[in-house]
Amino acid sequence: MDSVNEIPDEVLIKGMREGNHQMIQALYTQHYPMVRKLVIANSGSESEAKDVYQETIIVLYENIQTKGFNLTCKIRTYLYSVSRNIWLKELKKRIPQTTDLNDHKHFVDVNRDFDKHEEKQKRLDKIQLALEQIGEPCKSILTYFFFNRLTMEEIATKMGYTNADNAKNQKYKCFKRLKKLVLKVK
Amino acid sequence: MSNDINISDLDIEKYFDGELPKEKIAAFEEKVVNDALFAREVREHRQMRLDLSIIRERHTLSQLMDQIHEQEYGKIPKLMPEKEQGLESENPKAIEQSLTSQNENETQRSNRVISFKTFYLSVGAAAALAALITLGSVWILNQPGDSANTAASGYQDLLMEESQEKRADSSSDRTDRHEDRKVVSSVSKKYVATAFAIAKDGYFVTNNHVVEDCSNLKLKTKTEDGKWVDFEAKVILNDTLSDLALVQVMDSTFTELGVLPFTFSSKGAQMGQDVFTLGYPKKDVVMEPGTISSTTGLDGDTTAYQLAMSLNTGNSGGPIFNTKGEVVAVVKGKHNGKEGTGYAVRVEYMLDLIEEFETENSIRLKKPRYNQIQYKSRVNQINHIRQFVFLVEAVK
Repeated sequence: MDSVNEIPDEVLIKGMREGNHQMIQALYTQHYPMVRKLVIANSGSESEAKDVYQETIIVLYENIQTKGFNLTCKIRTYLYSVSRNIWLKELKKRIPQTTDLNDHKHFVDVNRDFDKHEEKQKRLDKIQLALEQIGEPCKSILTYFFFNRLTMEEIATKMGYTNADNAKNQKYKCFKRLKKLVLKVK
Repeated sequence: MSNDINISDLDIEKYFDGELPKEKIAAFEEKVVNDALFAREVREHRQMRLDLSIIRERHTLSQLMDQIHEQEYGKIPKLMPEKEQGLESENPKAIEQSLTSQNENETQRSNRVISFKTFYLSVGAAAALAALITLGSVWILNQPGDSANTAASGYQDLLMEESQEKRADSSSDRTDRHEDRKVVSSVSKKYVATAFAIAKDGYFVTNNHVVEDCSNLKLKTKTEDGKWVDFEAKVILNDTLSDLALVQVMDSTFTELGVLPFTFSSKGAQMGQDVFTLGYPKKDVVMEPGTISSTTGLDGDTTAYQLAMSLNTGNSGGPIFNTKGEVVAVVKGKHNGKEGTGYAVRVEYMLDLIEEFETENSIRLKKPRYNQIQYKSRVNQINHIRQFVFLVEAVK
């Protein structure tokens, strides 16, 4: 998409960093067709293309939030390279004989970013699995606190505790338990 | 190192919340510098808090992207319906839940709807979930089940109310098993349940729901000549999470018990294991045999076991023994309306509670070290154990 009214990379990056929805939307639509083409040309489906692309955006988004992240190439090239990596890995999993993708575009080495991403993914998976297994009332308390960002007063009310201090104490214990569980998850 | 202020690992979360009292902060930071193990704990803790916020941000971002995608490119026909359904079965816990009673499933569903409406954008979160799962990652951010509903769906704790009067809120308006006891009632009620010794010098374990908010607490036992003696006691540590409480006898007439003949299992229990409990469903100690029927409790609760055991009010707080005479769990409740299904807290949580008490107070309880009854018959085991199982009387 080399249209004239394409938003410059610096502007997009700044918008991403600030979590600006319009900028995220602009970036999303600016490069999706490229990734879609890549995935579909390599025996992927429309919805797989979407999945690959969204994971790629997550990689970029989280990198941009990190201090000291410096994009050494164009966003377009970066997104293409990460998507390529993700899809190639997925294909290899399905068809072990896969060696490379069928494409002709220029890409850069994003292995380091990708490995970091995978490592992080493993950590997050463990936490989510532990959260699934932790049981009540911990699951509710931790979800309310960390995901819904409720105050301890609100949590106390929801959980039927007499005051916020009770809820806090429960949360401390729950967090400790979550930590233990995360270590146990394979 | 300033040792006069004790820093426990529960303080780590307090520290990150900015809730640690000023006088403790210095001691905390000193400990981080001097104690490499503690420092590691703190680092891991911090990482997990960070990871939790990443999970949250990813969830929000995925929803936003789905919204954008649908707006720009329309809905993608689902090409992999089996993956979509697979969402539930990717998660082993979910399978279990789907086999539980209809009540519970219904509560879950309604919770999800409420939570999404309240907290997240309305965009199809299920799509986002499926999306990430296709890429081999688990993206399960189920909404919390409301403890109130869980209680209503089938859980009943087992303390016995001695008073004749029924409280107004006891049946239909009952919303929460903790809540219902907090309702201010002008008449005090006496509840009866079970406690057992965990050390010979007057430390007992029972359920938190038995002793929570009580104004008076007594432990009773029958002497050999059939007379009841009772001892004043107080709660020294409790945990609403595992529903356990540590109780100490505070009575000058109490003399040390003999050495405890049983020990606490370090391995927990396995499905299918034969177990038994001693408790006070009537005004005398009663043995009840049973089997560990699941290694999780109600609703996948990993702090508990499910038991095939006929439990009654008064059994709450009773020890669950395996055939070797080791405590593997503590009775806490039963499935309401499903006779013969009980729940018991895993012994690890009892050991955690004891350990917490010991570290916070820098003392060691005289816990049993040797199991003296492991090769004895059950009849013999019970003869040895019964004098360590007391009746609890809590006035609330």
